[in-house]
Amino acid sequence: MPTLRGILHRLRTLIARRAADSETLEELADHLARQTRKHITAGLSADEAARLARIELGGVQRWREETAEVRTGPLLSGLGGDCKYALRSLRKRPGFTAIAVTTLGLGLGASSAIFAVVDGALLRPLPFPEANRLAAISLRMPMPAMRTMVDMSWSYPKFVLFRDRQPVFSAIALHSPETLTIDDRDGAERVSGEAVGSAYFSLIGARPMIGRGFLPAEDSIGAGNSVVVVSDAFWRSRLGADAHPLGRTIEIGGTKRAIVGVMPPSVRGLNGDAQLWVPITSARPPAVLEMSGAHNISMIGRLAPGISLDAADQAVAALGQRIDEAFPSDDGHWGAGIHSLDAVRVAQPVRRALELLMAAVVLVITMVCVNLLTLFFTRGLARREELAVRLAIGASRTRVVRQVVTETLVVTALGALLGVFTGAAASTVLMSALSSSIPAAGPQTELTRLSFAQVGFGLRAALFVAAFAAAIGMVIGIATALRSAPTRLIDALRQTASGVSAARTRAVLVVAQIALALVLLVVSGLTIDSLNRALRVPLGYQPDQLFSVRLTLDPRVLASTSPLNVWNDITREVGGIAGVQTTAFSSCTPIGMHCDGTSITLAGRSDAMHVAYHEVSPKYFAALKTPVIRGREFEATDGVGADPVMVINRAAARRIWGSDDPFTTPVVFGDKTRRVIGIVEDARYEDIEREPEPAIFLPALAGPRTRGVLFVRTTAPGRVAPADIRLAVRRAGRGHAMGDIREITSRLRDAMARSRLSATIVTVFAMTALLLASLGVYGSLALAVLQRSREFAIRRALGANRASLVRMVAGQAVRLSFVGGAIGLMLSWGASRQISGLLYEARPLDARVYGASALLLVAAMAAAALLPSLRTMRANPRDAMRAD
Amino acid sequence: MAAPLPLVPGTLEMLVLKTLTLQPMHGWGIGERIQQLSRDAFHVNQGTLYPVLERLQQRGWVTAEWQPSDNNRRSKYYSLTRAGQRRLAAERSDWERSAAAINLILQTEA
Repeated sequence: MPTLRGILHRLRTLIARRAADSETLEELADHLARQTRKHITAGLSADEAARLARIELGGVQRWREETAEVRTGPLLSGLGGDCKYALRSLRKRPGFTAIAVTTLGLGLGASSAIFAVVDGALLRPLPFPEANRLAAISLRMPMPAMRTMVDMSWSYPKFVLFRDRQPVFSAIALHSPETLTIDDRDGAERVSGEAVGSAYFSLIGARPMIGRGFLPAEDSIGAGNSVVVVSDAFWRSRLGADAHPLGRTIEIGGTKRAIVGVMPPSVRGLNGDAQLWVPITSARPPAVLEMSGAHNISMIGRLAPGISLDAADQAVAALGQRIDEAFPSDDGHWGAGIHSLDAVRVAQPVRRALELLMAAVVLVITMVCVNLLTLFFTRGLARREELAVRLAIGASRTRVVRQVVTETLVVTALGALLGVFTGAAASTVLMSALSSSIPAAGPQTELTRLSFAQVGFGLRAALFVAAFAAAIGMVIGIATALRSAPTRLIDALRQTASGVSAARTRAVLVVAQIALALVLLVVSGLTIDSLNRALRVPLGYQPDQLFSVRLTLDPRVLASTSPLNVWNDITREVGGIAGVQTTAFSSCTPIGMHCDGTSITLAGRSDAMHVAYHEVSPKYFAALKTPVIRGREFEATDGVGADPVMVINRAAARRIWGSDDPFTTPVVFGDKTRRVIGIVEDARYEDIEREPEPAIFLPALAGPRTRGVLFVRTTAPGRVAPADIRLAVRRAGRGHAMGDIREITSRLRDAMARSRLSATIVTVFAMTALLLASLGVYGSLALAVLQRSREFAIRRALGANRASLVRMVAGQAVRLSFVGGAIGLMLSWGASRQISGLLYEARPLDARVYGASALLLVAAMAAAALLPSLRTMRANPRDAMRAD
Repeated sequence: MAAPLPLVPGTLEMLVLKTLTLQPMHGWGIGERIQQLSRDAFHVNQGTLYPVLERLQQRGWVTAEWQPSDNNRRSKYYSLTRAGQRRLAAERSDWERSAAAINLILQTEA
């Protein structure tokens, strides 16, 4: 235990460190003087005595530093000094510092952004109790054309059969995202909600804050029609956080429901933004629930204790057979199966994008490390003399190593700082891009959204950057220090050629980088090319100046009049807005909504053909500006009681009718035979990257639905605002619920978001890789020039001219690029075949793309080689004599 | 004269404390005195004294004071504190016990 006096001493010398240090110096000087005098007394000359005294002491600097180290403690001592020294020496070489910090910042930024997304979306457990015991249970529908099975939602009758026989789950529940229309004083509004089974809340660990969830009794058809559970957000915004909300009624879709429970803020359902919950059996008309072919409800379950995922999957598959026997289908045999909720939490395309990103990150990080290593080695070599001098004046070896490590750590700290900023910015961009690539609907959409809701660039991502940067800094620092701090003084002052094997390793790494950069360039070129082609593809309609509005008609109005009258009222009101050219309605929007499909049979044949199915009003094709190739589109007369007619698209005419004339060959559809009255141009609905499918259009007027999409074509851009349309619909009836009023161009932008995202990501990575490869070439050449500076000087002395030296170095760059480029081209060929499935009309061997990529690579390499090559011109014949 | 021995490891602090029992002394003097008292058996690497003296100050066993010396210069004189005296006594008895033990072992007839 130190005494009080000791502690005071320690504090004083810590605070007045500089004073204490100069005292040590003075003391050592005093020591030398006394020792010198002793030797003089013994008869030595003054010079000889002083020299001997210094040798005996063994270096003033060393004891000064060791004493200082005692003063501040071994680890801390000199850290401040080291940092200051490091900063000073980094400032002296701004080019080196900028390159090193940018390289690191770029690499860490990209990887941390992707880490943040992957961590939230894939690694962190879903916010449910024992989330790893939850499973998504689905039917498997045969796809004979593709010889495979796809996951499918449940219909209620099939669910009932499953529920009554399944032995492997302790609880199962149906759930389905539902847009509910609520109606209060402010008018009707569409609100995101879920229709669920009673076990749903306990499965996802949702405990009501007030009241209860749903009762098992409310699962049976007709029993749950008058209850609703609301979210915290709904309770606060709509009910004014009423302390006694239970029993209050809300009008949902025309029926009054009493609130039985309020969920806490953390509960937003499986879709991540549910505001209301209603029993699934009350959300569909009983007639729909009884249809075994209405596959539109998802199911989750919790594995019973002791049951493994595989065992449950087998039991479910066996039940799938029973279901197939009970509900036979024409398409083939159906099945059933399960996935752990974690495995399906992110929709497949998004997961694939994330995995691609992860692979890209590993590549980028490797390149970053290699380049930093080369950079620091180059610099370390240039500093050998400086370090040698420090050793010579008595600095200990550990001090020198620590100095070098500190310097790398300072660089990595700056890089990490840059990395955190770029990472935070990049993760925001990445998230918005990825979110827009979540499919609009499908079994995994809700979970994907929920997983993404967990994503944020927070402490974990910052820690990731810090840990990564620290690891890189330590490894590179120690490696550099050991390479560049000479073991013996004599080695330091002699310019030793570094090992040939090290140079070869470096060359291999640089070649690998060049090859990789070229592969990424080619891939990004192909992606951009395919995106451009997709953007130019003829759509079959004009998306600008065309609004679409999703509409659900007011059930109270429908009680007294027909849907046809209501639609007519609405189109009349909206058509009256100044600037509106045409209004029409249909069952489906072109983009961003899943349209129905059905099968038809030509009269006199037996094979059923799959077609997309639309119900459209008169002037629909005029509003969309889809050309009518032959015949006519529907008119007001094609209504109830008129001849059964239909319009088909060009693809249907070609692929289904073939050589038959559609106008004389009617179609059997349902129980009616229909006559074709028009053929329209193919239009790309839903997915513009997919070839148009055969489609049939039936007159909506013959039996209008109670929901659909209103189309509004305006005369000039900006003439009509969404608010005008909203007001007009309100005039027709204030209970009609509207949603998603948008121009089709904006829907198209969304639809292209995924392709644009992959193009952006690949391009960013390609550019990063190109930059890193250039830095790699630069570093490696700079190192070579430095190592061979004496050789160059000798060559100059022996009569080589400057141009020949430049040629030598540039030649090395050319060789590296050539080998790297050749390997890269071969790899690109393989890689582009791999990705061609992801691209629209991919041309994996597009010469333009390959040529442009190679050209870009050559330009970058030339730029990188320029500086080191020019440096050889400085080689001076005189240095040949002077060195050593 | 036999070649000077290196110090027995771990004993330098004790020896420094011992040299200071007679009178305050500067660093050079401490080294000289150890050599002298051991009749040149031990040779102290002179520089090592200064980190040790710093550590002894941190423990509070010695204190230092600048005093003028000849030629218009000054020297740092170290003196033993009471805590230092106690420490020396403790180290000394430990040393004697272990030395005796080592001797016992070495003297045993095998």
